[in-house]
Amino acid sequence: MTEILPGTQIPSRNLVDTQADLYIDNFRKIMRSARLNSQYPDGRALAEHAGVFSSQVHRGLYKGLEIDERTGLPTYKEWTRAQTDITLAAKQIVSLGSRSAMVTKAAQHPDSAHSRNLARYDYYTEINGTQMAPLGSMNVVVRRVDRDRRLAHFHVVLDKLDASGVFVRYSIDLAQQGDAAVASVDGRDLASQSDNFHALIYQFTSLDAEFMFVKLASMAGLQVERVIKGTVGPFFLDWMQAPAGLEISPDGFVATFGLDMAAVDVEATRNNDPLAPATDEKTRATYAQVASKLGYRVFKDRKFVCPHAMVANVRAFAETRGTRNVVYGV
Amino acid sequence: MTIDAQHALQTASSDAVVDNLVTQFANQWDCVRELVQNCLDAGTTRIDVWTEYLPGDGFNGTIALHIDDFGDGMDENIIDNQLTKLFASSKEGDLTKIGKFGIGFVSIFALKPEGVLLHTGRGGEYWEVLFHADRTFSKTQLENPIEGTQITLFLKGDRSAYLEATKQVRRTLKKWCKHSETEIFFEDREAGTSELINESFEVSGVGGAHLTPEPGTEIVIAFYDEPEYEFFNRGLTIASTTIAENVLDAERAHRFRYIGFKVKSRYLEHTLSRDTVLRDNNYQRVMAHLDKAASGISSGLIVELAQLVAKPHWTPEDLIGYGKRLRFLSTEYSGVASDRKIFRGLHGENYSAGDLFRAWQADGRILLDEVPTELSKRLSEANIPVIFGSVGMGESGSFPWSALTEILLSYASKHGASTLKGAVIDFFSSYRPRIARGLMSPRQVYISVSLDEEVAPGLLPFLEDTHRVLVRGLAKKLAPFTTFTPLDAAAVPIFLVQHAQVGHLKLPPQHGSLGQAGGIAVNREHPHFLLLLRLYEVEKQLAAYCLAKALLLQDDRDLIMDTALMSAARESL
Repeated sequence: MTEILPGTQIPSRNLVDTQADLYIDNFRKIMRSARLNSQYPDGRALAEHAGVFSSQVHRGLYKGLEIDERTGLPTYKEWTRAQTDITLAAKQIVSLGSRSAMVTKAAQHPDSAHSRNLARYDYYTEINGTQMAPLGSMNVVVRRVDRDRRLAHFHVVLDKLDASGVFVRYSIDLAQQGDAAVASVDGRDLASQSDNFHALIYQFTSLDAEFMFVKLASMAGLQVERVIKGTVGPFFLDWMQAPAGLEISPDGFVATFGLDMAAVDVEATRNNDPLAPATDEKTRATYAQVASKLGYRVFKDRKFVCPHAMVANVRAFAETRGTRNVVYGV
Repeated sequence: MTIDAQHALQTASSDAVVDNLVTQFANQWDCVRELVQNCLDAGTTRIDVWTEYLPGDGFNGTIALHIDDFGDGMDENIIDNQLTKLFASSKEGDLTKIGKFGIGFVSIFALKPEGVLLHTGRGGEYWEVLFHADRTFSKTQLENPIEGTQITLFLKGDRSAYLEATKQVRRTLKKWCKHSETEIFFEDREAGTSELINESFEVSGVGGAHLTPEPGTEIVIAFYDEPEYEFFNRGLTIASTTIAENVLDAERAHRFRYIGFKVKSRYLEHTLSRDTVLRDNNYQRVMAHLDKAASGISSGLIVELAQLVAKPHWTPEDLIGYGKRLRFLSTEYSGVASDRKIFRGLHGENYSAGDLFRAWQADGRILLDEVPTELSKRLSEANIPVIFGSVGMGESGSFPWSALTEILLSYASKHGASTLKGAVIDFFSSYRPRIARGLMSPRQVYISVSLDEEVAPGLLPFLEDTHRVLVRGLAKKLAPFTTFTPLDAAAVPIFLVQHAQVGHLKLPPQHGSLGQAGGIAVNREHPHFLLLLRLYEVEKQLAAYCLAKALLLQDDRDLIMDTALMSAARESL
């Protein structure tokens, strides 16, 4: 159990030694095999970032790896720890001084602070410049500008390690009429996002794509074209509580990657996500009314990565939930 | 499974238009670039291009070219209204997309495929589309999910055609996609080889820099003997050439004659024919960034030159590298960092452009020599710079002396004109010829002669009269003349001045008045002096005036005083 802020306990399990290394090895394989496109959080950055957790990289400087039991992913604390180390690596290398001097001293006193400093030096050298997965960042770029109609089309990308413990990426295409509700555009077609919009988007990140679409569409001067929420996680590990019907074999895992899309160019509302929470009739009817008014439709999907031996089981699980999903084996 | 009826590619125009679009590119294999571009616009983070050979009857078989992405994919609406409809792109004007016109896909028919199979999925719809050789197509809805888009072109051919096709596909990917921001893998499944097409976005030239002047634009730039100019959008090549005029205006083509660059910008676009970069407002904006970057790299070059100059010993590579950097710097130097020591002295002292310009201002000369000598050592001890170099060695040498002239000219135009004297020089006469004329070897300036202990009695009246004319005419105090004889047969000027610190006589300074020079010594064996000496026997005034004038004529000095000299000769003799 980890507690970042008083009263915010997250159920977690500490993996140590080979368990932790096996986890990281699998994590990197999963990210390579998942074939995540630009609608998902950056898979390559996540794999690199997670590589910092490997004991071969940190050389025993950290005891184990804490995994969020809700998501099967390293906890927020672990991601930020790696982020801090990567950020400070260059300075640490300088402050630790000469490696050859450390090697000499460590050889003379194998169990001393010198050995630990040598390990730290090598750790920081190895992680220096490692690509990091953004734990919270938003980027707004101009797609096109129609100056006569005072209409600017933007593409917004928000990356976040969500409070629920999964990585999310929101990709939003929208058009702004008139004043700078979303961002201002300079003469060179560069966007500067407004503080209000930034705050608003962050506020809605735990919501689904449809809710975000509706919220944004209610803002004056905005025409929303598309909201896509790509998710990395949860990963179901053999010691975790998996959804009913999804069996995880010993040492196995099922990594899931959700895609939730509300857009005007989606042909029909469909749910192909076997893990999507059920919505009651009343809420569905309310949403349907709004969707009809705003002209969007919703598509939910999820793909899976699991060991080759489990692919058939995962497919069967999806079929029992009435979906057909992409399942990659590793 | 739903099978749709057969359709044809749609266009508002005639079949002839479609035929033209099919063969729109100079090289039929360039269609591979179009497919890769579509993959990138679909947001994939990986593209797999692979080839396989499917044996048939006898020697003939089928070459299968696959291009797979994991991007957004297509639904039926996109298949019907964009993919198979010409000029119906939704990307036009969208700065986040590379494609613009909606005509790229059709170019695959230039390869005359037997068929093209496409699998794609989006929004819960999964489709198989089969294009036939006559460009008609049929589509089938599938039940099993498909991620992204996978395209396979089936071409007729034997194994040698397969090898050629593989070579062409790889060449096309390397030419157009080497800096793609998405990983592109190319696999030849027959040969069992696989490679990553992407190369890092960098340059190998001298004084290179890597800049991101604004979000969405990235520049790498460096000096080269034979530069290349390359434009990219999201890493796909828009234009790549070694001929500057093909992509730059005349002024920039001249400026970038030794500067190569790669610029990647989401604002750049290709022309409809894909053969070059579109010169629109966004292009001008990117060029403005390139201009700034070009100005910036001379600073890096100055640092490299200073490091080279500070090295105690030079290898032949250092020597060549120094000359090359100096030449490059001369094309871009704007007088900045003028205190950095970038010129190598012959005796351990190094000099900045400012040091050399001040030396030139003092004496009208900058001294260069290839090797240290006793004379250069004495000059150096007397704080007179002698730098490594060779006058007239030429542009290909390890010291391109014209580069020195250009650097000092740039220095002069920034700093020289800030003084009244500098401004006058700048205004009335160009610095260029004066500086170029002032680059000399010490042996040309400091001359070994035999100085007479006292002036021979037979010469004294003539020299005293000439001295009187000069003092009166120029209204300046001058030390009495001395005389000398040259030590070798080389032509020695009629006048030299004494330079006590070095122990040699030297040519008078090239500018400044004679009053600033040391004591004047006369070459008593000079033919002109001997002629005037004979004239002095019959025409004292005229001979004294002529010798005084000869002093002014040497190096075009104070010629405006000619009338004053005449009057002085008439009045004082």
